[in-house]
Amino acid sequence: MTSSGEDAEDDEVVTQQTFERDRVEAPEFPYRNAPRVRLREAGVSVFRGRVPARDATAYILTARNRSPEPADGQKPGIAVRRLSTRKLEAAGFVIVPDAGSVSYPEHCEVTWSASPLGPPERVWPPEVQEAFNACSTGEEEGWQ
Amino acid sequence: MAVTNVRSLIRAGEAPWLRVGEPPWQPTSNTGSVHALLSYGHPSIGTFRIGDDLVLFAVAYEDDEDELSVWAYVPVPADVFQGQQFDTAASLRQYVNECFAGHTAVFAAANDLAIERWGIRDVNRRPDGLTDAATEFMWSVMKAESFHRLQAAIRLAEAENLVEPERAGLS
Repeated sequence: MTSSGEDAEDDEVVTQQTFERDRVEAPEFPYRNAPRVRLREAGVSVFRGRVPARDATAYILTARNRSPEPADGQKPGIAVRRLSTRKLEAAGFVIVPDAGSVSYPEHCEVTWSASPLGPPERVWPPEVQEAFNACSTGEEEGWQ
Repeated sequence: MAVTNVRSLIRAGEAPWLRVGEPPWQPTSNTGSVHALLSYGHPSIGTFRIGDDLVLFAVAYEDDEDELSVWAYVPVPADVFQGQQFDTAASLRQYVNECFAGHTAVFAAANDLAIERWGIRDVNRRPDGLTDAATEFMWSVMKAESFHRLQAAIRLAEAENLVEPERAGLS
């Protein structure tokens, strides 16, 4: 499952991963469009550049102390999409580097503030969520 | 790898630094000392200070489908992560799990990333030692939880005269 959207250089995109590409109950929103307030998230996690689904997934599973190779049943739901950094910044989002001690993939957090100098908001209004979703380049890649 | 004894973090059976209701990655009041080494949504591996001790924390179990997560804590030498950069999350995870291997660690169970219970477990030296210890810890939590619920049910039944105290046995 690979589809090409707009052409963009690696440093002009960030990669967002999902385990829910095959979720039939919400096929239009398989990717998170906002922080999960319940889990105290301050932003949406992404990776700098064009990161393959395999590498993004291995990072996430390893963070959870799981095997970096997902179960066979999980693989159809795994995918990544690219978001344009230019569009994100133009829409008022901030890409905050948060790589810690790991070189690759480079974890970042996309945050949004209601005012230019204000703190990151945990609750994103629907229009902000739509704006975030609109930053997708249309490029998507499944588990390969 | 030399590691300070975890008992230094426990005084009179209490871990006052581990506050119920707080996020597992910053359970102390000294939140400014938290240093994340690996994050996704929230810090998953990192360190924080308790006085002079540097404490390593790491997710031992977490799943998107599950509100429960299990976290492990062990004191480490102050310079153990200084200047350390890891190629991948897997190489960091291997290094971190080796910090726990063969040591006694504090484990905390969190519900929706808020600490609910804690305990102490030995971590074996096998590659899955951290997972093994987290599983043992959760079994002990579930057993204690079941017993407490049974006791509460018996007390309620006694209060409503549904059962005689001497027949309940567990009251």
